[in-house]
Amino acid sequence: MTPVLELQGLSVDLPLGGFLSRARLPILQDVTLSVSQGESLALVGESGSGKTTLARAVMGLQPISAGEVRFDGRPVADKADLARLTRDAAMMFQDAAASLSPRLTVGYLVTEPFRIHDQPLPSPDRTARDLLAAVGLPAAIARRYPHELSGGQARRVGVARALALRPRLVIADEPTAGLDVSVQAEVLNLLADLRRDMGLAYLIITHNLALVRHVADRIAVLYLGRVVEEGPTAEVFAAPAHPYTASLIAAEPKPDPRKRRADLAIRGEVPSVLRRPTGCEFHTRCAFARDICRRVAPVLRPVTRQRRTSCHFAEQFQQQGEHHAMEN
Amino acid sequence: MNAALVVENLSVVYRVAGGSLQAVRDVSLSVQRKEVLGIVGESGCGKSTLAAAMINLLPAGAQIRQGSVRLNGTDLLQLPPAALRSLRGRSIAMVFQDPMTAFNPVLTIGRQLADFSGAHDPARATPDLLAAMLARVGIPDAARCLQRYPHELSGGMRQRVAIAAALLLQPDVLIADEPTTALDVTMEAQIIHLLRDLRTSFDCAVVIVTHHLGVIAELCDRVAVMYAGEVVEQGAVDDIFHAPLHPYTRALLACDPAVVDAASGRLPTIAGSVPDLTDLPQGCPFLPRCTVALPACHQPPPRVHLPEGRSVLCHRAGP
Amino acid sequence: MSFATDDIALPARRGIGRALLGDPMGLAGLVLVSTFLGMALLAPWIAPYDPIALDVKAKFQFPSPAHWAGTDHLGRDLLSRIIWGARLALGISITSVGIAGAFGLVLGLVAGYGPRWLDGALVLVFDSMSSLPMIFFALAVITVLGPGTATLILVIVLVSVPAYARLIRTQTLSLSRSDYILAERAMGAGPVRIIFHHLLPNVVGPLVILICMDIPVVIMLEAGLSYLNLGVKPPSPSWGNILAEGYTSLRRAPHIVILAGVPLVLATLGFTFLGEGLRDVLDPRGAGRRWT
Repeated sequence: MTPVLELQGLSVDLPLGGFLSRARLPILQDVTLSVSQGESLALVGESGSGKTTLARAVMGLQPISAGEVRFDGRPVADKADLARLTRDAAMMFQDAAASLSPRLTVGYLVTEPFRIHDQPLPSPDRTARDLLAAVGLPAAIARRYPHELSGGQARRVGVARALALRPRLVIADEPTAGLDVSVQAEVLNLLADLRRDMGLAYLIITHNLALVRHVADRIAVLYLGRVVEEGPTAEVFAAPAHPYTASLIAAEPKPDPRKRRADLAIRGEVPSVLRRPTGCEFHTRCAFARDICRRVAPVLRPVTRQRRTSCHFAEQFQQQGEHHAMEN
Repeated sequence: MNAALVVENLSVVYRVAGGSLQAVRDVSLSVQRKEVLGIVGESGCGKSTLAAAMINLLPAGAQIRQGSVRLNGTDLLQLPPAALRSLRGRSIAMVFQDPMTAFNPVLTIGRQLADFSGAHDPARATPDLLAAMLARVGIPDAARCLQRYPHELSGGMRQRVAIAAALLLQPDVLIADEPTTALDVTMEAQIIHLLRDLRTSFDCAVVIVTHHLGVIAELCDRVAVMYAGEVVEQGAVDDIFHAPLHPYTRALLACDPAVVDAASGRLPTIAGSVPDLTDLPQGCPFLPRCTVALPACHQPPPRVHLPEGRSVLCHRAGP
Repeated sequence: MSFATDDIALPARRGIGRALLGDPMGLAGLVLVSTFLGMALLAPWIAPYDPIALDVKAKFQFPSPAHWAGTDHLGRDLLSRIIWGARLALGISITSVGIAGAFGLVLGLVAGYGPRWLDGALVLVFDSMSSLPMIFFALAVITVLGPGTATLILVIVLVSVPAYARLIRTQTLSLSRSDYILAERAMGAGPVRIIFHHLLPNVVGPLVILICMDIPVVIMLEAGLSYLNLGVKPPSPSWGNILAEGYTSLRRAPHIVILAGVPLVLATLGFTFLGEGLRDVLDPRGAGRRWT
């Protein structure tokens, strides 16, 4: 399969501020990922891991300091490339209601991509109605303003707008954040249907692992702006190769009172990007950290044909995990 | 057993243009000491209003139609404002979803904790005691934390400080409204553990309001499920999760993506939408979405009481 | 703490006009402003006399059926002068704040959404202009150009533009970081579309309110400068001129100052009330959600 989106050694840093200061803060470091046609990749990490920055860098909203974004096999280098990217890839924002321009009607907003990219729009009303119908909203919604929508409706309008120009790739930042479970399920089903019907590729950014299990073929785990593990979702969930991935999975509250965790999977919080730990950046929170982890930064390396991780002890850790899994 | 907090037949309405919105309808529940009660439901089910009523801190426009909230026997809804203020914080305390809004941004954490506890009991406002309390909720380097301003702390740390503030005066009841919603999973797990430990070491009753079923399962002893302003089912957490009786509880549990194991399969949903709380039908409010409705459901459903404090508001649960 | 309203669909927003009518203060403002606008527009038809026609024999008359508001020291009909004065006062103030608003809007949008260097340059200009004391600035311009209606308008525009532009710039800056502007950029929208479709409609509300609140200030300024013979040249029936001339005969004919003062006060109140009312109504998320 041809990759729709490829990121090669993508790095983003922000000016640290301060008068005449040239210091820059690395937010994303050397991220290499790809999403194929019809595939769904989940990008997972805690807040501060740089996952939203990554989405913004892909869409040209955030300057890139090193590396490259390739869309459809071609690097995104100039304005024309970016225009093509913004036409053929769409982004759904975490706060769906806030991403809709407040003074315009839903009907205008969902047809706006046509206007931006000078695509033929013979009947805006009909197009709006069709787009809204595709996401299961009644045509009457077209006359409403964003603040008159419920959370689930705003989310669907965001999906409708993302689909307007029949994109090849949709980047969804926390597509179910702030939604009730029943509405969450509806949105997830909608995303699955659209992928099946339109052959969409998804890059889903989330910290909700339950969601990842349902919608993602592959998962990439980000910690302090670096990919620490990547692989097929089912394999990673079954036997995580990085202790961070394992603790994220374990920390997820299970909706079953009989499976309560007695111990804490992970303590402390993400270190500040201002004070990155030496060696393996996860060692400060890792229950398995050894001396080498504090000194030597591990590299992202393949562990199986489809999986990569950046833990010194990935093989041992994985075996241990499988052992545990069998015990449970 | 003596309950710390007892809510009886509570109804709360909001005045809105063109009528009144029935946010909480005839809710009765109670919490014992050392017990964690979870109140779960979807947006607009009235759970936050119920939590606010429990501490008599309802927003403007809300009106209590009937019922009582008894804290150790005293009805909070009947107390004069001064008596209520002295009870809040000392006997009943609250933790909000975003603790940033609960702190004054220009004062240090230490100063705010001291002001807060000093107002009730000056003897407890010493830096040593405050630092000890912060250490107890898992804040590393507690003495230095007292010198800091709210914005210098992470979301998880602020939530810990908020919990410490709530526990300073050893309240009988702690109410937490979506205490982990704004946090990452790793921090959420830590706060859940903290709350679980605290209710035993502090001998207080805890009420958790959330829409997250995982949080309920991990943390609570008993659960009250709310729909359209009513508690449709309540009981022990294990019973609710493993033998739900109300069709809404069943549907809600079934559509949680965390429950459904099959990857990429379609998730079950609840067809239809929440009823209009300004114009409720006479019968069961869940009727239009219910898959097992009976003809009798056009009449108000009975509250069926079962052993071990369990109750269900459903025609099907009747004898 | 608020009651969660996420999935309760809200009723459609009421029209601005209807919402304004429901607010007593806004309603009072609307009535007063409409009255003065009516007076200004219909002055040639509703004024009973020519406002500058002299009738020295009839000077200093108290209100009577022939002259409802009496006459001044040259026997001119006071009611006619007040009605024509409304035309002058509103004409000058609305023209000047209108021009200033348009300039302020464009400059503020450009400063707020344009390149950083342009923003820096514009802010420097705004700051240096507003650091000049307003009265001395006005006097200097009048000294150079000579008093008159056009000069008055120019002074008001020059004084108001920096304030308006700064308001718009601040609004634009904070909105340009908002999710929906990011979303527009992610869809490939260019700066022109973002500024005119997405920023302008959202920043213009506060400007309208500010302008409304500024109109009474301008009316007062016009009256004040005219009173000092630095504004509208006599014999034009400006409210300031009427006051200035009435002041000289305060003892003999006190009704002149009193009756010329009333419309000034009412117009000021009217625009202020309307501004307050608009502020309550124009906030896009305010209406219809008051009970949350």
